[in-house]
Amino acid sequence: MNQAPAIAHPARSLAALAVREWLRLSRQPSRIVAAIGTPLLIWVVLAGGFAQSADVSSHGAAGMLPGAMSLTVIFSAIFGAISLIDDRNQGYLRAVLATPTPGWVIGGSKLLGAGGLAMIQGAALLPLAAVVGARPEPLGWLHALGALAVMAVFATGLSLVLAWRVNSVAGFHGVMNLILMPMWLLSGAIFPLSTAAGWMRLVMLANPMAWMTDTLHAALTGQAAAISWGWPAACSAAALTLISGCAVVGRRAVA
Amino acid sequence: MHAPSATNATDPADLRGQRAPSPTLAVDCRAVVKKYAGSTPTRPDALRGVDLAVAPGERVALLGPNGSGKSTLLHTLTGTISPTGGRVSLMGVEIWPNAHAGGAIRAALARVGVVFQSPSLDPLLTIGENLRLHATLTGLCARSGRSRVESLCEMLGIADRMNDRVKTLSGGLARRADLARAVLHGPELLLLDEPTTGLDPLARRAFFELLDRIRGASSPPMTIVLTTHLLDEAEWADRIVLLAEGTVAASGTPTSLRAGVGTRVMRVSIEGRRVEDLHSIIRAHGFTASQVQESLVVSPVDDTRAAALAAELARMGCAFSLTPPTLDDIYHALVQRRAGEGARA
Repeated sequence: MNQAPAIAHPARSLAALAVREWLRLSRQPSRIVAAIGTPLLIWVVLAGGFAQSADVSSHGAAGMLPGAMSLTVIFSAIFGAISLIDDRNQGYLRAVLATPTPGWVIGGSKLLGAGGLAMIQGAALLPLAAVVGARPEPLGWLHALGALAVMAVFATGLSLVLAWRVNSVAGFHGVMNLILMPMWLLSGAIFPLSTAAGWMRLVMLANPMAWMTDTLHAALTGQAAAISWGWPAACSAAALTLISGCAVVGRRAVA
Repeated sequence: MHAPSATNATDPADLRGQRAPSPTLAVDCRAVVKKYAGSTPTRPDALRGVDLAVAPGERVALLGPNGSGKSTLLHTLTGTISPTGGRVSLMGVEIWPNAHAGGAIRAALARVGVVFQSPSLDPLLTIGENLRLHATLTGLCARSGRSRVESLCEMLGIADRMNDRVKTLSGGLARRADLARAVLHGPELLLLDEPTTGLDPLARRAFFELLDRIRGASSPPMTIVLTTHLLDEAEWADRIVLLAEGTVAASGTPTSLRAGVGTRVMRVSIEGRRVEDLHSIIRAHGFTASQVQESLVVSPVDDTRAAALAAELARMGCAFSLTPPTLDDIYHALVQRRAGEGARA
């Protein structure tokens, strides 16, 4: 029965583990509803509530759509990170680490699987842009998808790195409320950079989610980006979390 | 099939973990130390210089109570715990310390299967999906992976549950599926960490029967290292390594360990007696005893002194018996002897 030892091709392992993430999601429909439904609800409420406000009229329903999409991406990334905690607590991760699979493949597959899902779920709101009057250029749709991809990599990578340090789902909720939600609130999702107080503008300029939301906003509305260096900075931040996520999650020794 | 005893390492270089790994051993641990953050005199290191050598094809049980270091040692072998010191080699491949440990660990793990304390399958996927995914991770191509999954599930009696999600399985069935996962790629070395945790006695017996069947089907026979705190499970192995407080307390076949304790032990019932009083009487006759459930077990006993002790116990109306030692007795006697040596040192 013993066979010659073999080491799987990294690409095959990467794909197999990423497909597992998607299979798991298909069996947890509540995750899909929560990831898309909650941001959608927040968007409807905020857009409706601010509809007559002169201060944010330029922001409006179309202007707030990127914020709803970025929140969808963040929620999906959070669920992906929670699945990492589950994998660790249920012993699944330990069994995968005990295979010849390279560490970066294990981390990369989480990013590809959970990040891919985050991007797709964020993109599911894209058609709403046409409904609320945003008229992106044909290239704008592509830019929006690119921005969503970068945002998904960043949010998922950051969530996974944070989740690695936390032992329980309950603990991760605390991290989420302390780090990820403030990042979203200060991303220009609800109020634009231009109307924020001076000190807050500085905080927003230092927030990678703001660079990404701004890029998405510019892609959908056709307006010039408020943060001119947002796109390259966003890509750099995403690349950094991609590497960190692969390195941290794929670390073979867990103790 | 006699591997070097874990307690027989006398070469100082060997004890310091400086000798080159033996290519002939399936497992070769030398002076392995694992310190967790916060180790104190009252909470000692998990592993304190463990030497362990397992020959190819051998079945070794790491026996010890909770906290003895057996799971830490096993996880060190899987590369999921990094030791603080010492050397670890699997099938002649040094996995620790090694400048290229990542590659070395992967090369070694391609030849190793691991069963953890609780089933390590994704509860949301079916048995088939779990096993096919694992086949990919262990380097089996799609076709051979599929056929291997099918034949193993047939052998383990779970073929008709292949399309059931793991979360719907009973503990015993989930264990079988997990065992299939661990041996899917035909490993030369199978590591099992208390694999029958949570199983009833019947399911436990069935598990070991399946393990025998899988081992019987492997050629050459698979090396198996098992951790357990159950003595009857340890008896299944060719050799038992007794771990206590992060060190190897004793090592040998079940028979040789029995011989070390003597051919007979005396069991003194503690019912209706003060345990301290009984200990005093036993000590007065030059024996030591350890409490096992409702008895004090005296070992080793030689006939002359045992007769005197038996006479005194009979005078007091204490119930006692002289019986061959069980592994339980051996375990307690060795741990107690070791504790006595530690106190004297």
